[in-house]
Amino acid sequence: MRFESQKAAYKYFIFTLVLLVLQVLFGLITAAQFIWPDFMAQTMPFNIGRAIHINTMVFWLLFGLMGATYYLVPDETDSELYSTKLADFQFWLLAVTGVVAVIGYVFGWTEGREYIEAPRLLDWLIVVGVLAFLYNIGITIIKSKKWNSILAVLFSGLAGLAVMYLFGMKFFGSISLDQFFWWWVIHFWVEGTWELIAAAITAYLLIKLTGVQLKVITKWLYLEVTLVVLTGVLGIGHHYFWIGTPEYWLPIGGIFGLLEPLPILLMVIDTMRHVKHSPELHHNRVALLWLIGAAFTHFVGAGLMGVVQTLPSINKWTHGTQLTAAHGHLAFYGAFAMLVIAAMYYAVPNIVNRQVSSSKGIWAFWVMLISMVCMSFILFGAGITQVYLERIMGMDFNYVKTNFTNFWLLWRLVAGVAFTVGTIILVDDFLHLAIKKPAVNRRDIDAGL
Amino acid sequence: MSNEKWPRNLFIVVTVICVAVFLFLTVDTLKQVQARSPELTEKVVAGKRLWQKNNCINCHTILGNGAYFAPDLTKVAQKRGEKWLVEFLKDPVAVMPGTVMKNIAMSEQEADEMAAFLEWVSKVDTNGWPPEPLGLGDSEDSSSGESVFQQAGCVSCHTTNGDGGTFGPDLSNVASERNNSWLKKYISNPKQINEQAKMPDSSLSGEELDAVVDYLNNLK
Ligand code: HEC
Ligand code: HEC
Ligand code: HEM
Ligand code: HEM
Ligand SMILES: [Fe+2]
Repeated sequence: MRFESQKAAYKYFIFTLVLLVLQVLFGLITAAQFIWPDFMAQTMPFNIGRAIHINTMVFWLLFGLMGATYYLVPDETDSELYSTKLADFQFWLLAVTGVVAVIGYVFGWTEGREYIEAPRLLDWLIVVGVLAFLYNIGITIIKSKKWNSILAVLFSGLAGLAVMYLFGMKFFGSISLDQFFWWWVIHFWVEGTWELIAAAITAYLLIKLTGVQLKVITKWLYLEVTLVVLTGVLGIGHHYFWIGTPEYWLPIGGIFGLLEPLPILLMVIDTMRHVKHSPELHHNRVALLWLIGAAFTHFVGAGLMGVVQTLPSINKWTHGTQLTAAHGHLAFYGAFAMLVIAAMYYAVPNIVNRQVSSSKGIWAFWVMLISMVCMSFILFGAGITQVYLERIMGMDFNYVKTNFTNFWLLWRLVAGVAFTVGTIILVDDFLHLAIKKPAVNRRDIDAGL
Repeated sequence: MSNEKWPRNLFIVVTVICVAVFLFLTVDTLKQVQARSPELTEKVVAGKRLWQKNNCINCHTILGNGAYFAPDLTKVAQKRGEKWLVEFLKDPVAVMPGTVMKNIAMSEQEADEMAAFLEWVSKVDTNGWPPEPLGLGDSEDSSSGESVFQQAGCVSCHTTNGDGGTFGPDLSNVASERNNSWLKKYISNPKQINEQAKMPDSSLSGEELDAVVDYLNNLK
């Protein structure tokens, strides 16, 4: 750690883990309710549990990405943060807002739109928090006059993320328009702005972990994000096939959707190239492992599992089934969750000046990855079953669910339990880092970074 | 340095062009969307608000987006009819005793608004989604009367052999009271016989209709 203010990231990372645990807990409850519909049906109905599951996800990923940004920006600008006080204020504002939102859902205080359920009042607090964040980062970069490629791409992504959120705040009487703009938030987040943020953080971590030069990375980084924008902006058409929007979105969404895996593939190739030709010894194998895992899982979960349902002729049958959930899980996990964890494994040991116990991080990596891949493929099986029996054969939804799909979904629950075990190992590893006495002097690890 | 600026400039130019094209298409879409759905009345908008307030989207999909725990509601107004929807939304358990939707209990007015919303959605031009199924297979099991009775959703309203819904009458003895042609007529289009029928039309094929009537006959 070169700058004192990089410590601002610490709180963010800790809170990330807290929310991850909550997310997993509510994932288990909702997964169990598929099998036993009466399980907690009164105290925690499925719709509330699910809203909490996906909201805690969005929140922990955002906290993780903000933490990574606070850690990265001083490094790249060669300066302290503009204000650590503002970073702290912004942390508490967003953390409290998030907690209030989750508690609110339990009491039915919700806007009832997937992922962005937070009611209007909380929306405004989130806007204030995010503006404070952007201001803090923006001023730091401007003062340093160092708009290198990583900072430029990162900041465009963060600013875009904030702008897109605004389109999720309006009420629409027409559900067609509602969903039209809802996808501006969801699709332009995950297949646009977050993708820029992820590319920038990946580039930063590659430099730190493999010693590759920024010069070499810059061209790749811009090429990747150019492709992200080229395919992803019009790629939103793959959500506009059936919601009451005009027919021309069918070919547009199909064609640009088909191209969307390209930038992700490029990121994988880029990452592997740098890892292989790494001029440096890998000091932090755990972080590197998570980073490489993220690249591959991103490609499989987002790229491959997304592209198979992006053609209108296929999407017509698969739209809104367990296949969507299969893709949603592995994509979010690979593209963003693993990347955030990689960033944490790089940054947290530096912040607390302790060495990471590599065995636990590696265990967590494999247990979580394997169980999440299993979960996603199980959901894929459930999805195929559902598409065939319900959509193609025309059987009743509930009949198929209780008699066929639930066979798969029981195994999803089992995979979920395994994932929870992995999560516990992960959290335990970080708790040890945060609380236990340093076992080793870490100076050698910082050397050369 | 300057010869290394091209990747950045490419990124900026591509972004500007893509966003411009997208905004152009957005403007056109916004113009067309209204014409692709019925007029938006106050009642429908009130229903939409209830849809959000009750967080239905985190159990159901609508227009295919949402959660995969409960059936898609895009065309439910056509499948069930407005009367059924109102009864159901007022007290789901009364209509479907085993239902998971225990926590919903709407007032008459709310149920009315929600039904209007679902009715409105069912008329949105969705480019043909959801697609007509290619059909029940010819396997022994799926064409048997009992499975038609379950898969076509009769079971959620009717009890047979002590099992099923209670919104409609128990059908265990119906075949001893009604003849086959009456049954076929009623099942395919209840309003033909009873103007006030709350039962929705079914879209069974001739074969399925035969099978389900056979099934009712064998219950006695
Ligand atoms: C806790 C999850 C849950 C919530 C919340 C929920 N539903 Fe349901 N709903 C279900 C399930 C599951 C079914 C399928 C029948 C059953 O087993 O209960 C269903 C069935 C229905 C049906 C009949 C569907 C058909 O094809 O026959 C309608 C209509 C319906 N729900 C409307 C709504 C509306 C409107 C809301 C919001 C006010 C809502 N539901 C909220 C779970 C839910
Ligand atoms: C939405 C609930 C609902 C569904 C689904 C439904 N019914 Fe009905 N059914 C009713 C109700 C209510 C009645 C009572 C008369 C009326 O209001 O239509 C009825 C009446 C009948 C009757 C006449 C009983 C009599 O003696 O008057 C028959 C036969 C029947 N249903 C068969 C079926 C079959 C077969 C199916 C499946 C294809 C089916 N119903 C689906 C609600 C339903
Ligand atoms: C980058 C990370 C990505 C993430 C995190 C992600 C996540 C998701 C999620 C969560 C959904 C479901 C939304 C809902 O709740 O309704 C979804 C839908 C979809 N995604 Fe992705 N996605 C990513 C990338 C991609 C890519 C690269 C493609 C490829 C073309 C793609 C194609 C699709 C399609 C076609 C759907 C609609 C599925 C349906 O019709 O139900 N996604 N995505
Ligand atoms: C213990 C592990 C987990 C379990 C048991 C679990 C279970 C579930 C369940 C039951 C749903 C509702 C699906 C539906 O509507 O039918 C869901 C939705 C979702 N979960 Fe998880 N989950 C787990 C972990 C995760 C993780 C780690 C992530 C990502 C980082 C994640 C991301 C999502 C997303 C994006 C959705 C919405 C999917 C969509 O709408 O397509 N989940 N999960
Ligand atoms: Fe998308």
